[in-house]
Amino acid sequence: MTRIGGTSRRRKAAAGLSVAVGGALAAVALVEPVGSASTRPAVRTLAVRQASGPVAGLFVAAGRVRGPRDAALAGTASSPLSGWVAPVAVPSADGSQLVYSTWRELRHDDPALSWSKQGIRPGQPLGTPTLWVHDFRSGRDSVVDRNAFSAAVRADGAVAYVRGRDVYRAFTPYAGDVVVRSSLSAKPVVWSTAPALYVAAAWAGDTLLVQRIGEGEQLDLFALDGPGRQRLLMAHAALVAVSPDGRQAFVANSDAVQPGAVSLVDVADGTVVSTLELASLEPGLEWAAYGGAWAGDRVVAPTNAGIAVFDVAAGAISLAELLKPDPQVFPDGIVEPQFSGDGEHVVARGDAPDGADGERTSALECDLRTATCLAEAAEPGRDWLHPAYNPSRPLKGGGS
Amino acid sequence: MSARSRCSVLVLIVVAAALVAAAPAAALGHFDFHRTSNLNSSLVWVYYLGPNPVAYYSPTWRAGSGDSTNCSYIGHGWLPLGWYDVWGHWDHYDSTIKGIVWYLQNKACGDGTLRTQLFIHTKELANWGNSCPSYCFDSVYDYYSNGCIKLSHSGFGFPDNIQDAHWWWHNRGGPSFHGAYTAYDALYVHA
Repeated sequence: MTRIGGTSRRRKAAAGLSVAVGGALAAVALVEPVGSASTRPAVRTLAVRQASGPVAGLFVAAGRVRGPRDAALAGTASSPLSGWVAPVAVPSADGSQLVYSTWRELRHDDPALSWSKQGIRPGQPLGTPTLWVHDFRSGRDSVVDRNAFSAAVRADGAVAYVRGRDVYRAFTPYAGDVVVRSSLSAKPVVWSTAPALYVAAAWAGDTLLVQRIGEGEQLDLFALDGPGRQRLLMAHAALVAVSPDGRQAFVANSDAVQPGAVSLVDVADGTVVSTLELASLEPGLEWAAYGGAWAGDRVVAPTNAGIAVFDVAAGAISLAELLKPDPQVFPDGIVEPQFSGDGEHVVARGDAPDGADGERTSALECDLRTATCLAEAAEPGRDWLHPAYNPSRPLKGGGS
Repeated sequence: MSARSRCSVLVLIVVAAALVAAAPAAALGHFDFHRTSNLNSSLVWVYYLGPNPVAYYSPTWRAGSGDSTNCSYIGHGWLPLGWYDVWGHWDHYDSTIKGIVWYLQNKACGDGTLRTQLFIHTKELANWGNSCPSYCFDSVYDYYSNGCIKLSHSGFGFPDNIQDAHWWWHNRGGPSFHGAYTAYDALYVHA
């Protein structure tokens, strides 16, 4: 009741090939050729099986980090302002530290009710993020900065993150600055030129890649070369992954304009090296998204139809294969796929709806050769289960 | 003041209150978004003629939201369930989003992820014209959004539902104001 107070997306992807699985999660991988004969991409159904124990890969959930490292954190690693536009927890290059965000509610906000119905007035403080670092050697957690979130950790230990100008308030756009510390003990230096809702995404060499979340949740990708040296790398674009040498970015067009595309972009000057229109594929894809990974000549990315593996050899992009999960097992998709080990395995997260706007998420370990995933038992979305990974490149050792 | 004068004032107040209650401009209303799919959900304006609890409805408009059903997927997921205040309403908004818009309050998904800077809008220019491909509604896939509620716009065979919604807002219970203001409980999103 109202009272006065104060891409276009392309065609639908082809019908799923998935083999339905029940609680036991078991399916058979199917192969179907798609695209042009010259590229020979394939659509395969991901077979999902219940893992008998923990899957490979580093994950955070419910106030813990687990996997190759296991430890309690100062709180649940979560980032309501940025979701998984960038990782919520980032291991340092040598793996000895984990930088992560937490969220503290300053006033309870019941999403079922409007702010006015809850007596929340314009400008009222609702929450604030905190950026932490966990040291695996000492087991201690230290505050990096308050009212700060989303970290990009460079191989030499430089850390970039977003520091809010103010706490998160009702009816007030949250805006912050991108700051960089040459080390965790150094003073932060502001690199961005104007406050906005930024997300520190990844280092590409000495250039920091930053997402800006704008009106209508439009994502723009910026490159920051130093204090006050901010340039638009690509408008309406989301960073999928950075090349191993840090010179190129694989980006997804996030504009609501046909057709959706993925592109290779030179970080140094913004030159678009290659573009692949997703609708040109057969069957066409509608979109690709952030939270992917790049190893060797292959990029893995979440899409509307499943996990896509792109071949990026010789500066050209082609779709190598599309791994489609059973829509009944993970109706809300598989996200944050990250290469693990030999480049033939990825760790990821599978999402299924749970109640109103809730999710149940499962940690996944997938073998690309056999199109098979092992899934841990699902956890409630409130636990914020996410892979912990470092998308910055180059990265000596470390990573996910 | 005499007893007779006090009585006259009371009568005037009662009559004025009755007139206000009967006028459509004083009625109350809200948008109701039935979230069923990214491409083909529905939006309707619900209003009440004064204190009478009987609800009246506008025509139902096809509407879209997001391109994923994962609420927590910033920039992709459909908008969260619940009641929303509107942060303002503009006829000729001219930023990334353009034209007739209603700016929605932020809302959390089930895991706490915040969806921010979302609108009810269409794909049009600030002057309500078209400029393809970014600002024209020429395909059913234009119902997709990054999370906003999208209505159709005329010019390419689609009904002018954004203008229709605009008319019902202003003439059947919504505020007459434009610009930044708070309209309480102006949108209800349900499954």
